[in-house]
Amino acid sequence: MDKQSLLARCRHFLTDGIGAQHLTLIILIVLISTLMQFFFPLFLDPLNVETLLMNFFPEIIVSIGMTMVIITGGIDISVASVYAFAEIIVAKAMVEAGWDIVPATLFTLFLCCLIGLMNGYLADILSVHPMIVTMGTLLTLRGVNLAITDGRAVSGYSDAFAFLGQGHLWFFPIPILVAIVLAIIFGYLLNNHRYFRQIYFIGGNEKAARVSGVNVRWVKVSVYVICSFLAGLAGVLGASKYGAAHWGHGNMMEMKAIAAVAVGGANLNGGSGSIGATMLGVCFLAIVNNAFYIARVETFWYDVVNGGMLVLAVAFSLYVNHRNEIKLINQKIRASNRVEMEANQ
Amino acid sequence: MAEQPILEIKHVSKSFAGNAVLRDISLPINKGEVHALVGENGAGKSTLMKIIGGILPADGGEIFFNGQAVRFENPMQALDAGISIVHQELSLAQNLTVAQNIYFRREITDSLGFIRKDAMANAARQVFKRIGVDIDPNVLIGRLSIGMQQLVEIAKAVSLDAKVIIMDEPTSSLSESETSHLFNLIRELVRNNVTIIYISHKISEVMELSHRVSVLRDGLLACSSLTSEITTEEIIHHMVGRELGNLYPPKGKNIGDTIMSCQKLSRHGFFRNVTFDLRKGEILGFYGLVGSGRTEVAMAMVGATPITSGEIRLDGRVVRFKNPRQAIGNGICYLTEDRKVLGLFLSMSVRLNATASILGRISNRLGFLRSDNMRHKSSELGDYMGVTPKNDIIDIINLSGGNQQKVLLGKWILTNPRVLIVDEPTRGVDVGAKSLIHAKIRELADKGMSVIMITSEMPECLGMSDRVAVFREGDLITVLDNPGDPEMQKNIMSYAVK
Amino acid sequence: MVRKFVLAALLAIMALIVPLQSGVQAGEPAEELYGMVVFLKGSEFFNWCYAGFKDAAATVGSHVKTEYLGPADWDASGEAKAVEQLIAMRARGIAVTAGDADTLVGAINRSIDSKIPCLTFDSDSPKSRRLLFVGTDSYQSGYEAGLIIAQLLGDKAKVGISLIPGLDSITHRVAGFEAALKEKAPGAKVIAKVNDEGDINKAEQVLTAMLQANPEINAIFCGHGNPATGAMKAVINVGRDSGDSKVHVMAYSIDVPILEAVDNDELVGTVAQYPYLMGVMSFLNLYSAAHPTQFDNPKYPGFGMVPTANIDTGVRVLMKGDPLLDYLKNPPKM
Repeated sequence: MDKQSLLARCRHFLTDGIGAQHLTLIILIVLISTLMQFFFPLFLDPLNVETLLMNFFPEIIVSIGMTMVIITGGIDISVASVYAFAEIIVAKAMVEAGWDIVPATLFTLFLCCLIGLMNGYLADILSVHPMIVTMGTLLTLRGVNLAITDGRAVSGYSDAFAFLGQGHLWFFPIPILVAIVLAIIFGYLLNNHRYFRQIYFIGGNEKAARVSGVNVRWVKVSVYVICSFLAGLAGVLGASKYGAAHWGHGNMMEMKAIAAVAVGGANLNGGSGSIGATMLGVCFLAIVNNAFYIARVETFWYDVVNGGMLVLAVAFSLYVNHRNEIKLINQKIRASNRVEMEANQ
Repeated sequence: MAEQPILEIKHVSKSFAGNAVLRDISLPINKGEVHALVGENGAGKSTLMKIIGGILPADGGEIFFNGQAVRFENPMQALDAGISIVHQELSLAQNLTVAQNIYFRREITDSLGFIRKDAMANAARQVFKRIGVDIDPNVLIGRLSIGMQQLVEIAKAVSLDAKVIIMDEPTSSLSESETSHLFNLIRELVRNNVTIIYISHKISEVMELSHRVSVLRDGLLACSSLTSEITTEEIIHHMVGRELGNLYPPKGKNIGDTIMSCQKLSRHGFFRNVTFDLRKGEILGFYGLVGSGRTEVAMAMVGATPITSGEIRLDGRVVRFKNPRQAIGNGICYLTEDRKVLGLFLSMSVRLNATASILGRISNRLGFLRSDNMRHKSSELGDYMGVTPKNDIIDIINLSGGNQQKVLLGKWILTNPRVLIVDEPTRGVDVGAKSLIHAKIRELADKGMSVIMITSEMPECLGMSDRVAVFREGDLITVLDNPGDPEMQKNIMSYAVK
Repeated sequence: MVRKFVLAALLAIMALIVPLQSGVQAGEPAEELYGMVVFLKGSEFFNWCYAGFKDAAATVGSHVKTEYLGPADWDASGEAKAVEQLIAMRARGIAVTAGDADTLVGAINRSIDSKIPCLTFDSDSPKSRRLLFVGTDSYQSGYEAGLIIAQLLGDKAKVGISLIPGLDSITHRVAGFEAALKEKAPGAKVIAKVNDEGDINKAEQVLTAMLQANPEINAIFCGHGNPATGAMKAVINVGRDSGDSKVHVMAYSIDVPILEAVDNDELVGTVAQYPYLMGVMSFLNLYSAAHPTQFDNPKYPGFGMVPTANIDTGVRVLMKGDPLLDYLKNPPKM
């Protein structure tokens, strides 16, 4: 790339609201880390960094799927139940039915995909807002989770399975490796694959996407399937990590995932967002969360910061939308003047 | 009519951003008459009505109401004075009842400010009785047909004790029986000394209903006459009487055989038995007034909306597209008239917008996009269409309307279609972009692409198309060869109105 | 635009730094951190526990700090995360109440492996290698409640029990209650057991139905904290809140409204656990484990001395006039 276009890109990055938001986020993350390290040398201690990441690994994986759903202009708040459901199913399959790890995991992920299929299909066919559909799934599945376990935990699986969630490869905990690999794969796909490019078009303007030749229904449904699949995968890893499956695990995870996507700068009305940005968002939330622990601030305040960032992020995307609306209205006014004017020529 | 006019418009003019839309219009409206106002799209009818109704201020001139000079600052003042507008797009609240809508903003309440529903319903019933309409005042507006809603709007005007009721294209979405009901109601109102200003482009209705007809053309009052003293042909003559400039590219030279044809295409409630052929290398104009069904036919041809009956043949084979994707696969593309809703991905870059329909061709076999390909295609398009600015990574919303349209047209050209349907391609586009778009469309046709061009602008239709299909109220009336001479205008218009 | 954003960013940073600085203490070299991890953080019961934990820590010296962590819901994996966080913070001791016994096994064992003393209180995680459990002996607490009913009504006692089936602690309480009746009033009978699903409204429904179906019932034992209010309403619903046919309700909670109901004779009494004591005992044992003396802990080498048996903090059945009622009515300041 030549120098001039590089310059243009930089200028674009800075004047474009989203780019500025990413930059702000990066600066914030670096700044918080530096300050924390300065005051609390424990902060960048390897054990603390591992804990920081491990405490957020389900959110990292789930937020990848959530990003895609939100780019299409939808939302999936059922992920917390799907996560717990996957934990319970994979545990039951191994502990109670005596299945091997691989078939139990595949079966669990298959069921999760079916749940995603149902979410996407219902939202599309009934044209009900996905918020409502997935809220139904959230509550229904939570009931199912309680019913099939009588509210008790399922535990007692093999060491091999426990290795999935608790083991390390080199120095890296496996769940973190899985999360990073998934983020890279989906990040690359979203940027570089025609199929995933379509989700931006759907979120940007669904009707225009249809007219442009996008199979809107299929793409949308598949995104919900991916989201549930990832929540299920996180659940399998979670069951292994905590050594037990329990209906209460992962509660409110959907909020953290949505917050991560929003803080990363995606427009909650769809059309924009990226895995990289979402990862920045998760990192930010995880670091702030950890900072609260390390600095021994009452953790109730964490929710205040978390919520504050969310409001800020949403306000920002509203502002961008509003700015676009105004541009459009101005164009419309100019256009209608022109039509009237041309009628007079 | 020795009486003084109830409404007198004197030397009213209006311009937008320095361009005159109404020029020195003077028009008396007599009490108790149906005064029809006709004109082409964009002739200034709506602007004039908005000025009378207080929605827009006039730049110059005066309006006298009952002999008094008036200047309405807002629609409420006009309403209070006794001038009501029944809008083309109804302005009723769908989730409120009929009575609540009629008494909107002046609810009947008790001394504590609580709404008295039965009193309001009874009052509404009284109004309906006066105008001879039978509608349950407690029903939700949303449950009523458009025709019924129109009657409610009129009832509202009557209940406001309106002296002048302006109706803007009131029959555009009414069935025949609803239309005749409306006419009876209008006659009844006129008997009660209410004055009606009736805006329409259906000349047959105007001839049937009105006492006096005024024709606007290009912001000028072309004629005003008693309806009994003018013929349909004369009205049409006044509507279109203009010279054609030499602004358009030459007509097509090598027009080939039929490649696509529609046989008795129908979609219930939108268009009926539309039959025409499209030949290789020609531009077929679709002319008609707003709401005549042209866009609906185009949408159905590309599978965006369903067809109730009829068939489409492509190269002699019968095809039926379930969705636009299949149509695109067969080389048939539709450039929308509604850029915001159906065309643009507003929050995305020019480059993404440009390549939205050719993702398959800029990706490798596994479906991975090749960013160099994408950049080339996008800049190729930018150069060909002359899009400015050249920087294609900015969001498309930052481009002017003309450049947005160039990108959209270019996006379809990149797919290399055999048939391109363009819907109002130059609406809201500046003059420079307009002639460039015209030139490109003709260039593509000369290279063998077939183009259907939907336009509501008579000069554009005459200037661009090789043949013209004229639509009226969901019917394709006729297909005319178009030599491009000014005499064609009257010919086309006489088919499009009536 | 950018400028605005930078401004917003600076504000956000400041919002972060201000609370952070309050956490920065003038460096005391031997600072020690002890953490208490709960579920339903913020509930009155666990606030009592933490108050005891914190107060006990304060008696040792100002270099001892405490932290109160955990999710505000039932998510036991959130507790596991908090335990891991405390390990990373190099805490000197962790007391955890297990929202789910199995989920916390891994985190507790990791703490022990990292040479950080870890014990459970109130809810145990028996499969883990925690040092010990500090809490109420459920059987004994039910037994004490049974004694009161046996004293009050003797052989004439006809009892209905409100419970959630399948929860170990409740099952043990009920067993203790029944054993006391059998022992002290052999003629007394348990007529019905109903499932209140842990919900006040549900408890009112099922208990009203129970009293209508079994009019001979003259006492209700609430096997856990939630149903007492529902039981009182059920008794009023059937018109037996006073007089000869009064139904005597025994609660199992120290919520302020329950304590007031005991004072007003609406409840015959309530089984009070000692959450504050649990906190105190948890801290003292953690502190002891964190400070080895000349003889090592025989069961957990490297740790200081702690009892090998679990600690029962006991219960007291509070009845009208008990001085403890007034003191429990003032929940601890945090």
